Amino acid sequence: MKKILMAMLVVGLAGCSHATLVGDWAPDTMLEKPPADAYSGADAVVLVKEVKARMEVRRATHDVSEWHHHQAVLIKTEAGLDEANVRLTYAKKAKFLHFSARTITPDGEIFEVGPEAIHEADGKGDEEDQEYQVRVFAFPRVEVGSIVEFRYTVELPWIPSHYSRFVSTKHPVKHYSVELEGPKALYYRVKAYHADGTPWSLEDEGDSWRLRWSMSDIPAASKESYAPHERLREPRWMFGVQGVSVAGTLYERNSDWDHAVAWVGKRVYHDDELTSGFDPKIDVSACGEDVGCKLRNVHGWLNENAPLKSWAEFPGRKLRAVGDSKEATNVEKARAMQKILEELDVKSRVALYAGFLRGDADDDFPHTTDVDRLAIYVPKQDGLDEDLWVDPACEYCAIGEIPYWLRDTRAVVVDYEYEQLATVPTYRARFMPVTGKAQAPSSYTYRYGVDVQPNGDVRVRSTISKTANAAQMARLDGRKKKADDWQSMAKTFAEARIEQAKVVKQTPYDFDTDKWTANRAIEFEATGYAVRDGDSLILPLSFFSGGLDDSFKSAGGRKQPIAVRQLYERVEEATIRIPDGFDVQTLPSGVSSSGPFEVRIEAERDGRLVRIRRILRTKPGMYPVDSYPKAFEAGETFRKIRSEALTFVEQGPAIAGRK
Amino acid sequence: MLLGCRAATWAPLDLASLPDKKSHPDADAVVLSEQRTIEYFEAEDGVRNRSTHHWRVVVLDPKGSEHANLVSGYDRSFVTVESVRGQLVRPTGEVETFTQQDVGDHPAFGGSILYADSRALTKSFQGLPAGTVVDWEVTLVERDPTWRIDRHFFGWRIPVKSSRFEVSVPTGWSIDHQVTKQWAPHDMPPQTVDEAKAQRHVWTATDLAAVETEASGPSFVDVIPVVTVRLAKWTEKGVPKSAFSSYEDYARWMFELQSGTAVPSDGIRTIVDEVLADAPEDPRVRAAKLYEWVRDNVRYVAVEVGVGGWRPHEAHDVFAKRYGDCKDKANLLRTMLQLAGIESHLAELYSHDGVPRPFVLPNAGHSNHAILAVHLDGETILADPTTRTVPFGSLPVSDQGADVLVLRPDTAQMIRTPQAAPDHNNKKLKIVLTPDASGISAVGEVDLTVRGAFGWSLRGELLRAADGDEKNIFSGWVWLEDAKASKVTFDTKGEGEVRGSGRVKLARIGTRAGDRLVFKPAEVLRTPGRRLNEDKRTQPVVFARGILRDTELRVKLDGYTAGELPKATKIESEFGTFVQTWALESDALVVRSRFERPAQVVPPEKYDALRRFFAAVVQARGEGVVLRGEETK
Repeated sequence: MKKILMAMLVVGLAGCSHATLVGDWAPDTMLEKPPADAYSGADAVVLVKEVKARMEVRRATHDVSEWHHHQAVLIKTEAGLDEANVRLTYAKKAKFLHFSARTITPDGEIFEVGPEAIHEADGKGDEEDQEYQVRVFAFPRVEVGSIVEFRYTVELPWIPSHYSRFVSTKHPVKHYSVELEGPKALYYRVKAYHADGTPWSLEDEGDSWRLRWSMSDIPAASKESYAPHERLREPRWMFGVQGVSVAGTLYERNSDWDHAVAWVGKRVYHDDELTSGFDPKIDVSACGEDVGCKLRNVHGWLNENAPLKSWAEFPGRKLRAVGDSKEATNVEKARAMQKILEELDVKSRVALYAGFLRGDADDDFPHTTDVDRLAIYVPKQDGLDEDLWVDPACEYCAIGEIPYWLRDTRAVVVDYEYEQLATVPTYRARFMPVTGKAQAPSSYTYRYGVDVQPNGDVRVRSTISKTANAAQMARLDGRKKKADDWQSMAKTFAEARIEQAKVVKQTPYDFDTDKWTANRAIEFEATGYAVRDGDSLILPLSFFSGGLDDSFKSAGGRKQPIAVRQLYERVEEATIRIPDGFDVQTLPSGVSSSGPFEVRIEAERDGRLVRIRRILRTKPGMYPVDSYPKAFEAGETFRKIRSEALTFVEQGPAIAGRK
Repeated sequence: MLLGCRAATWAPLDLASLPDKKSHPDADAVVLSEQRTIEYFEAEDGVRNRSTHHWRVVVLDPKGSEHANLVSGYDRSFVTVESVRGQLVRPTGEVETFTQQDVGDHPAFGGSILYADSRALTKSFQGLPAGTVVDWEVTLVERDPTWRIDRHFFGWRIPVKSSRFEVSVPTGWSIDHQVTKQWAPHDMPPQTVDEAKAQRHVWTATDLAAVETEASGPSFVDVIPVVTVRLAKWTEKGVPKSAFSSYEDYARWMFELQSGTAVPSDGIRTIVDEVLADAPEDPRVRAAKLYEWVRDNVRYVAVEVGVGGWRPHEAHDVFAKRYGDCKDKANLLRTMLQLAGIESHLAELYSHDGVPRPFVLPNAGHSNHAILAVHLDGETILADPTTRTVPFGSLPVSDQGADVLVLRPDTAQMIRTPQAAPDHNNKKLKIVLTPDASGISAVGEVDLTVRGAFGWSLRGELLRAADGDEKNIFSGWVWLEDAKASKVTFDTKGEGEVRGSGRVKLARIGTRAGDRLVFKPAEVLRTPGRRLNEDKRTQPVVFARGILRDTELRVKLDGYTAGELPKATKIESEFGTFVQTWALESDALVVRSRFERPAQVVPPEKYDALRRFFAAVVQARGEGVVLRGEETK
C-alpha cells in the first residue's frame, strides 16, 4: 500500500444524502466586462468556468457522483456567437439533476433558456457500452456584448476512476475553479500541471473532504508552430481515485502504477477475445535460439503484412481484424508483435510511453492517460545478451535501433506474474529508460537537374529521395494513392516550384523496404522562366521550395518555447547546366545559420555546371523562447536563395574581343 | 404485401464468381446489388410506406471496406425502424450476422442544425479482407408519406453491378414518377407489372461505373440518374384521395400548413414602429429596412422537429428568442412586412453549390431553403434574410439560377432567379510597390474595392473579426505573396461595396542577381484561376459564381531602369477572358490585368480546353521584366 493511502484514516462511509449540487449564477463581480482593450484578438472570453463534483460511496448499491458545470462566456465578436449554441453529450446512464441557462444582454437584460428550448436525444454506437445522450439548446437574444451562462448538474451511477481537464480553451479564461468533495472512504489523488504552482486547498469536514483549486487569467491555448506538446505547456488538472474502503475493506484502484497498468496487461496478455484467430505462421527455424534473428523476422513480417496506418489509442482492434486488414495502428502492431513473440517462446512485454517531448509518465500520479503509445521490451534471455527495445511502428529501425520519438524516453513496462497459488495474474509496472542505438536521421533529398535554353525555357529533371522515417511516411501515404494521384502530386510539386511548369513525365515512388528508401522522379518544363536582358539570361532561383519557407516568418512575438521533435536532414540541390555560348556571372554567396535548425546555402562551379545546395538539419530538443531569434534567422537564411537569380552572359565575339 | 423483398434469407452468393481486382483494377469494392423496395399500403390510421433497402458489397481491397458501411437515415417524427439485419461473409465462407441491436443509432443533425429528429443507423467496417461480402438490409415504415417525395439514386462511388428500385401500390392506387439525370428529364422507363392485388413499378440499371469524386466537381447526386416518386392516387377508409394536382395546389397546401405562424406580438409591433420611424413612405425602402433588421438581429439557429422542417416556428417566438432557421427568419420578416402593409409570401428553393436542382413533382422534399417573395407595386422581390450580409434586392450565389416556388394561397408562382453577371462580383486591386534598400523586399500601398458576392463575403469576415484580425483579413484578400499588412482600414458604409486600404511589406519583390532584379507578377501576386490537377476528368467543373478581377500593379522605378517589357496578353475563350498589359508610366512599371469568368458548369469533354485557358493565364503571369539598378548586398 502506498504512503498516501496509509496516511488517510478510514472513518467509515458517507451514506447520507445531500442536496443536489446546483451552485449560483456567477456574482456580478465575476461577470464584469473586461476593459475594451483587454483580450484583444479574442472572439469570446470565458469569464467563469467551474467544475464541482461530489462523490458518494454506497454500501448497498453502486457509487454515485454528481458533477456540476458552470460557465459564463462574454461574446466579443460574431465569430464568438458560436458559443451561444450548446451541445452537451453525456453518458446514457447519467441523470440530469439540474439545468439552467441565461443570456445577459449588453444592456443587462436577462433572458433564461426555457424548457421548450431544450432538446434531448439519445444515441448508441455499434457496441453495447457506447450509449449516450445529448442535450442541445441555443441561448436567446444573444448579440455581440452578451454574456451566455449555463450551469447543470448530472449524476453518474459511478465514480470516475480518473478525471482530467485542460484549463485553457480556445478563448482566454478569466476565472477557473474546481471543487471536489467526497467521503474519507474514498482515497484520491489530485494534481495540477503548468499552473504556476497554484496549490489545492483541502478542507476536512469530518467524514468527508473537500478540495478547492482555482486559476485566473489563463491565456487562450497556444497555436504557434513548433510549440511544445499541449501536455507540456497548457495548464490542466487531474483527479484519480486510489481506492475505496467498504466495510473496513480497502478496494484499490489506481493506488499505484501496478494497479494503473493492470487494465493494459489484461487486454494485452490475457484477453482471448482480442487475440484469438490471429495465428501468423512465421518461419524462424533458421534462427535457432537467436532471439535477435526471431525479432528481425517478426518485425519484417509485420512490416509486410501489417504496415503502419496511423497512430491511435490503445487497445485497437482484435488482432484477427488487424491481420485481415493488412495494416495496423502503432498499438495494434505492438500487440501483434508481443503475441507473435509469445508464440515463438520469446519473452517480451509491452511498455507504455509518451515519447520524446510529449511528456512522460508521472511517478506520483499512477494513470495511463499520458503514456498513450506502446513499445515492446525484450529482456535479456537465452539467445539474447542484452535488453532490447522495439517499437514496431518504426518500420525502418533495425532491431536494436530506436527511432527519434523514443529518444530520452522512460517507458512503463507492463509485466505480470502469478503469485503463489494465485489463479489470476498480478500486474507489475516498471519504469525503465528506453535504450538502443539512435536511428540515423531521416533525409529528404530533392535534386533538380536544370537545363536553360537561350530563349529562357527551362527543363527540370528532379528526383526525390527519402530515407528512414521519411521513406516510411511516403510508403504509408503511397498506399492510399491511386495511379492518377501520382500525376496530380507531380503537378502540385512542379507548380510549387515554378507556377507555369508542365509535368513532362513522372514516376511513382519506388520503395525499397530493405534499405528504407523511397525514390521518385518528376520532370517538368517551364516556358520563358528565365528572362533575357540584352546579352544576359537570368535564371530566378525561386524554384527552391519547401522546408522552412513558411515557418518563423515573424521577427518577434513568440510566446512558447520551440519544440523540435523530429530529427531529419533536408537537402535541395540544383545542378544547373550553363547554356552553350554563355558563361555564368557571380554565384550566390554561401551562408549558414545555427540554432534549433542548422541551415546552410552552398554554391559552386564545376566546369559547365553550377551546383547550388540548401541544407536544413534539425537539432531536436526544447529551446527556450529567447532562442526564437535563432529560429527566425534560420528561416530567413533558408529563404534567402529564393530571392536570388543566376546570370548567364552570352559569350559572343564582342565579349571575346573585350578580353 | 411483397414478402419476397424482406425474405428471411439472403439471396444466393457464389463466392467463386465474385468480381476481383483483375476485373476491376481501379476499384476497392464493388456493389454487387442494391435494391430498394417501397411498398405503399393503408394501415388502420392512415397511409404508410414500407421501405426496404438492401446493399450487397464485395470488398476488393481492405481500404474499400468503408463502402460496406451501413448508413441509413431516418426521421423519428415520421419513421419507425422495423428491422435491421446483415451478414458478413468471409472469403473462407465463414458467416457473421448482425441485427438491429448491433448497429449504431445516432442523432444525425450537425453543421448548421442545432436540433432535428433526423437520425442514422450505422455500422462501420474497416480492414475487411479482400473477397469479403457484406449484406445489410434496413426496413423502415413511414407514416403519412402522401405529401412527400421519395427518391432513388442509381450509382455510387464504386462500380455497381446491379441497382433496382421497386415501388408497389395496392391495385387501384397509383404513383407519379419522374427520372432525371443531371436534373434534366432522363429516359429510363420502369417496368410495370400488374398483379392480383398490387401494381409494381421497377427501375433497374446494371454495370454502373463508379462516380468519381473530383475537385470542383458537382455533388455526386447531381450527375447520376435519380428516380423521384410520389403517391398519386390512393384510398383511406374507402375514400379516394389524390396528390396535389399542380404546384399551385401544393403551394396552397403548404401555405395552409404554415398558417397561424405569422401573428405579430406587441414586441414585433414595437420594433416595426421603431425601425420605420424615420423611414420614407417608399415601400421598397421600408421593406429593405425591415429586411435588414431581421438579417442582422436574428441569429441563424435551426430547430426542426416533425413538420417543423416545413412549418416555421411562430413569428413571436422567433422574435422573442432572436433565433431561427431560414423559414423562421423569412416568416418573421413576412410578419413585420405585414404590419408595414407590404404583402409577402414564403418561397422554397434548393440552395445549391453551382448546380441548381429543379422541382420535379409537386410534393414536399425538393427544397432545402426558404426565402421571402416580397410584392411591391406589381414587382416581386426575392429576399433571403438568412444571409448575414446580402442587401435587400440581391440574392446570395447559392440562390441564384434556382427555381423558386412562391407559396401563395391564390396562384402558383415559380420564379427562376437570375444569375449575376461576372461584373457584379467584382474585385479591384490597386497596388503600388516600392523596392526598398535591401533590393529584395518592398513596401507598398494597396487599395481594395470589392462588390457583389466578394463584398458580401468580406463584409461577413469583418463582422466575425476580432480586434487585430483586420490585418490578416486584408492580407488574405489582396493576394500578395509573403506580405504583411499594417495600417489597414476598411470602409463598409458604401452601398453594395467594401473598400479597404493598407500598407504592405513584401518579403520578396523578385529575384536578384547583382544589379538586376527580375520582376514577375506571378511571384508577387497570386494568379487567378482554378488549379485543376487531374489529367482527365469524368465530372464537370463547377464555377458557382461569375467573377471579375481587375488588378493594377505599379512598381516604382526609383533608381531602376526597366528592360524590355513583355507583350500584352489577351486570352479569350468560352470559359472567360484574361487581359494583361505592361507599361512604363512616369516613374513606374505598371502591369494591369483583368480576369473575367462567368458562372458555369464545364462538361468533362471541355476539360482540356479549360485547363489550357488557365494554363495560358498562368503562363502570362509568369512572364517577367528585368529592372536594372544599383547592386545591393
